[in-house]
Amino acid sequence: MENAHPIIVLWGLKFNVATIGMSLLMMIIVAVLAWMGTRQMSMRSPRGLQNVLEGLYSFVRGLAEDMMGPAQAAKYTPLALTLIVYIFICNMSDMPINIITKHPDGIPALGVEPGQSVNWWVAPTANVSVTMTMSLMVILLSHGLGLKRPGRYFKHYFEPYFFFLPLNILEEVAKFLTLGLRLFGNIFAGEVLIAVLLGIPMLFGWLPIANVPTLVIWIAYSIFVGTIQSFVFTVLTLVYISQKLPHESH
Amino acid sequence: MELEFGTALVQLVSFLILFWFLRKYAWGPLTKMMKDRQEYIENQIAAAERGREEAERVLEEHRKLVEKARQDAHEWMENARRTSERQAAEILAGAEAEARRLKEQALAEIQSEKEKALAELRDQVGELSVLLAGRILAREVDAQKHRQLVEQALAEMGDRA
Repeated sequence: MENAHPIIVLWGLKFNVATIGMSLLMMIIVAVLAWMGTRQMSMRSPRGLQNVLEGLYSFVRGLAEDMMGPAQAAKYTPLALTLIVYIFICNMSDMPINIITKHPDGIPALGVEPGQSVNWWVAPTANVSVTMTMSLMVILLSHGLGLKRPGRYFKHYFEPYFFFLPLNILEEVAKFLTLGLRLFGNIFAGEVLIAVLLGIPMLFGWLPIANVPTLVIWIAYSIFVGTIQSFVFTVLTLVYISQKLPHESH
Repeated sequence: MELEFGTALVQLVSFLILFWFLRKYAWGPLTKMMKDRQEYIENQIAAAERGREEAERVLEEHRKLVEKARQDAHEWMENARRTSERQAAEILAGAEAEARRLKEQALAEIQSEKEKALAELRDQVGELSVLLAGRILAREVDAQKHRQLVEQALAEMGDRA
């Protein structure tokens, strides 16, 4: 049985409480980690969190420089860093625990029907609204940057021939959809399978003794997938931005 | 799975806030620190290179100075040697000249003394012989004749002397 989503409806908009709560919590964790790692930085002997952040910075900066050159890379490295850290933390978030409550009477305010249970501990990136928002943000940013040179921007839609216009428009739409859906699909699948594995016979009603090995393997794989997906999202963001930058030739 | 626009809205706003916060308080300082470190290292390398060049330059200078000092010392010693040799030669020459002069002077004195003595001797011998001859021969030889004999004898003597 699938868990219900705790949703509040305000002004006709649906707010997923669990996802929003988790997303904000992960943001706070990211902010605190990044804050801690960049306080009292040592120039000559970095250690601990500072080392991790420096390594990550160099890595992301290297990616950005490969795609758009040093001058532009400096501008977009902060965005790429924020994306990779935030998405990575989100992808990892649902791995260690699950908080599932059972509601025989339901919660009318959250749209939970009687007998449904609610998983409060969900990965924000397992929610399609979250990933599509991130994707939309990146695509809008790249198009906004492209529109700084309107001539070149619109000319691109007719390349290499005029009748490629539909294909080029389709490509832009596909970029937007695939960027968000790829991340969502990967993480959502991981979460679903974890839920399924947890639903299989449990010892004493809570210890999933029968499928611990399967669960361990799947969680390890999910960690791998989550890492890769945060990397992929960041790289594609940089690619899409660099494609729209004025000097870029491709 | 349906789109939740409320969730999307909250996600957008909160992510933008996170991005702003991180850029200002985390990535900014991190970028600056790493840039500072890069500059620091570049400066250190440049300073080390400058220092090495300076050291090499100074070393080369010193080497030249030592070489020059050695040459100067050699030159001075050579000069001193030549000067002393010349002075020695001069002193020697002076001494020889002096010695020669003294010797000639002495010889000249001897010569004049000898002549003086000879002249005196001649006079005294003449007188003595006249005296002796006068006493021995008494009147047999007049003074004039006698005088001539003596003169003759003396001239013969003088030729032998």
